[in-house]
Amino acid sequence: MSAPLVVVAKGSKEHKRWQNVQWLYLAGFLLLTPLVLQPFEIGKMNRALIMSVAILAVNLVVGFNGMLALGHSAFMGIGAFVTASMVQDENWDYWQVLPVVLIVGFIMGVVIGLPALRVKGLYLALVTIAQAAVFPTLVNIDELGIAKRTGGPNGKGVSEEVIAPSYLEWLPGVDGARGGSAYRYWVIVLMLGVTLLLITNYLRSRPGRAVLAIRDNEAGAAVYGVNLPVVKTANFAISASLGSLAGLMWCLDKGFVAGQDFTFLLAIDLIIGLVLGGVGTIQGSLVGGLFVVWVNDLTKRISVPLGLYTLNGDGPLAKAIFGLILILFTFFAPGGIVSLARMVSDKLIKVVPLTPSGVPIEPLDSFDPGMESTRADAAVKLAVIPPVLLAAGWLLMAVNNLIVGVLAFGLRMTILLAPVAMLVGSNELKAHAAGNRPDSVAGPANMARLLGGLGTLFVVVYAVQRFVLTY
Amino acid sequence: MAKATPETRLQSEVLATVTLSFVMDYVLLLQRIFDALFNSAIYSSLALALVIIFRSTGLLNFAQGEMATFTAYIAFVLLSGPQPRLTGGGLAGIIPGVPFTIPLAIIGAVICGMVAGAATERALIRPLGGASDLALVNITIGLLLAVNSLMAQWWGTGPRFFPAVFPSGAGQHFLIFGARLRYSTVGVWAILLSVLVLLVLLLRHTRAGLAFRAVSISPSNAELVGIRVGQTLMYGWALASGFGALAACLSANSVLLEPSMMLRVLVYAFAAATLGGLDSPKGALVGGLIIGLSQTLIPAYVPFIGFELSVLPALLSMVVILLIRPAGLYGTRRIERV
Repeated sequence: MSAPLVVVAKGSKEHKRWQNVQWLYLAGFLLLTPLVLQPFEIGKMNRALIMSVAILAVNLVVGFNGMLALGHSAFMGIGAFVTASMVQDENWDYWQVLPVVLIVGFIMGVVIGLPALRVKGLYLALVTIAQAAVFPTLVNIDELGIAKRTGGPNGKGVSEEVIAPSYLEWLPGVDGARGGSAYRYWVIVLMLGVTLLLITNYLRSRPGRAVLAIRDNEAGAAVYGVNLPVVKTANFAISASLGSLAGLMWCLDKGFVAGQDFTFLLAIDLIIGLVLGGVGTIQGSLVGGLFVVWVNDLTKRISVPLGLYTLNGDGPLAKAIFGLILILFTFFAPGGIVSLARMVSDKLIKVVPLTPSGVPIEPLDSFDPGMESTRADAAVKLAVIPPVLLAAGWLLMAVNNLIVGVLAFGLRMTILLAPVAMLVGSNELKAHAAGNRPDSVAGPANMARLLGGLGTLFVVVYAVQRFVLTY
Repeated sequence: MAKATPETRLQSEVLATVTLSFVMDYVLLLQRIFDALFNSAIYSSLALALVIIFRSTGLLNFAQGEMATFTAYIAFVLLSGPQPRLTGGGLAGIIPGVPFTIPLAIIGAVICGMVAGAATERALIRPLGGASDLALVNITIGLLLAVNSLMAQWWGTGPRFFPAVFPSGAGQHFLIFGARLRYSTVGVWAILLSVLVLLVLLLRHTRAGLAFRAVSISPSNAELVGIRVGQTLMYGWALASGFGALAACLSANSVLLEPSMMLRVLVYAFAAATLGGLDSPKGALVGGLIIGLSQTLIPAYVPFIGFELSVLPALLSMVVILLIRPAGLYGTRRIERV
C-alpha cells in the first residue's frame, strides 16, 4: 500500500476519531498492565517507567539543548538518597519529600551546571562522566555524617511500605495479590503523566524555545537575545531536578537504595534508552525506558536456557546485545524507534494540515490517485493477518514456551489492529455510498468492516473479561 | 587497582615507623612515589592511546580500555592455551624451552590489538563520516559494552593470574635511600619510554608519520595534497590500540586479568589525557605521572580522603583543568568559528 491507509484533514471529525482511537489504545495499555501482568512484571514495568523519567531528564539536556551531559545517574542517586534518608530517618511522607527532592536536584543542577556548561561537546561529556563515576564513592564518605545518612556501602532500606489508602483501593489491580506493586504503578504513572505534561509545556514556552534555539544554532540564539548561560544552566537544573524525581520514584518503588545502583553503568543505560527511543523526542524517552528494561529482561530469560553466564540478574549477553543495538541504531536508525514508528504510521494515516482559512492545504483526494480499491484490500489484510499470526503464536507457544512466549506476546498485540481495519472498512463504505468509490471497493470494504468488527469485539471481550476476573 | 599492594604498604609502613623517629618519613614518601610510578606508566600509555585517537579522529574512545583488555586475554591465551590453565599449553607448550614466551605472547597480543584497532576504524568509525559527537560516543560505548560482555562470556568474569613480565618477587628491587624501586616499575618505564622514542621517530622522520601529522592538523587540506586520509587514520587507530594493548599486558599481572580490568584504569587515563591536553602526547605522559602520583600521595597525606576515595583527586583535577584551561597543560587551544 503505497497510499496511506487513511487520509484526514487536521482537526476534522475523522481526525478526532483517529486520535480517540490512539487515546483508547493508550488507556487500554495503562489499565491492562496492572491487571494482566504478574506482580514481578509490574515491578519491571515500574522500573521501566522510572527509567523513562530519567531518560526524559537526559533528553532535556542532550536531545533538546544539544549538550553532551552523560552523568544523570548521579542526580538520580541524589534524589534517591535524599528520599531514603528523609523517609527513614525523619519519618517524612513521600509527598512531603517530593518538593524537597525537586529543590535539592535543582540546586545540585545549578551547582554542577554553572561551571560544567562552560565547556562543550566531548569535554562536557568528560566532566559529566567524572560526576557519574565519582558519585558511588562519595556516598561512602564518613565525614559530615554522609555515610550515616546514606547507609554507606551497605545501602539504605526504607521500612515504610507504600500501600494504597482505603479510598484508593478501587484502582485497577490494587486489591488482591499484586496490590503493593500495582499501587506503586499507579503512583508512578501519575507522576510520569504530570511530568510529561509539564515538560511538553515547558518546551513550548518561551524559555523552552530558547533551549531549542541554542541547540540549533548557539550563536544565532545569542544574537536573538537569548541569555546563553542562564538558559543553559536553568535547563540543566530542571533536568537535574527531573533526574532527582526519578531517584525518588526509584526509592519509592524499590524501598532500598545503595551507591552501587547509581554507577556509570546506569548512566550508560540512560544513554542507550535515549538513543534507542529517539534523541530529541518526548515519546522517545518513554519508549527508551520500556525498551531498556524489557530487553534486559528478555536477554536474561534466553541466557538461562542457553547456559550463558548471568550476573546480577542480567547476563553478559544483555550488554552485548545492547552494545550491538546501540551501534546498529547509530548507523541505520539515528532517529531511534520513534523515527521507525513514524515511518510505519505515515503509511497508516496521513494528517493533512489546514490553511489559515480552514481548507486542507492539498485536497485529500490527491493522496490516492486511482488506488481506492487497494485501501479496502489492505484493511481486509489488517483484519485477517493478526488472527492468523495469533494462532501461529499459540501453536509456537505449545512447542517451546520460553523464547517464543515473548514472540507470541508481540503477535497477540497485532490483533489490536482490528479496530483500524473496521474503521477503514466503514469509511470506504461511506465513500462508496457517496459515490466517490468504484463498486469494486464495496466487497473488500464490507469484509474489512465485518472481520475488523469481530476482532474488535474479541479485544473488547478480552479486556472486559480481565476486568471481571480481577474484581 | 593495585598500586601499593597490602604487602608493600605494610613493608613501607614498618620501614616508616622505624625511621620516623630519626628522619621524618622521607623514606615513606620516596617509597610511595616509587609505588605510584608503576601505575603512572600504565595511565600514561593508555592516555597516549586516547590522545593519538583524539588528535587524529577527534573522538574519545570509551572502548579503549576494553579493547586493551581483550588483547591481554589474547596474550593470556597465547601463553596458556584456549582452555585457560596456569601452566602448559599455548606457546609455552608448543615451543618448550623458548625463554621469551611472555614477551612473544605480548608482542602477538599487541599485533592482534593493532589489527583490531584498524578494523574498528575501518568498519565502525569511517563509515559514519563527520557524524555528531553523540553518535561517535554511542559507537564507542556500544563497543565497550559488547567487547566487555563477550570477554565475560568467553573467559568468565573471575580474575585470572597473568604471569609477571618482569621479576617481581620479594627481593627483586633496587634499594634507593632505603626505599624499594621494583624491577617491574623500572622495566615498564623503560618499555614506555623506548616505545615513545619510536613513536617520535615515526612521526618526525617517516612519510607515514608526516602524513599522520598532516591529517591531524587538517584532514581536508591533507586530502587535497594527495594523502589518503582514511588509511592514515586507520594506522593511527592501529598505533593507539597497540599502546593500549601494551598497557593492558603490562598491568595484567598486578591488577589481575578480568573483563572490567581496564575500566577503572580508563577513568584515570581520561583524567591524565585531559590534564595534559587531549591532543598532546607529551601531555599524556606528564598527565599520567601527575595522576598516578596524586592517586597515591593525596590519600596518604590528606586525612579525609581514604584510599577508597583515591579516584576523587584524579577526577577533580580533570574537572578543574577543564574549567580553567580546557586545552590542558600542553594541548593546543581550539578556536572555533561560528
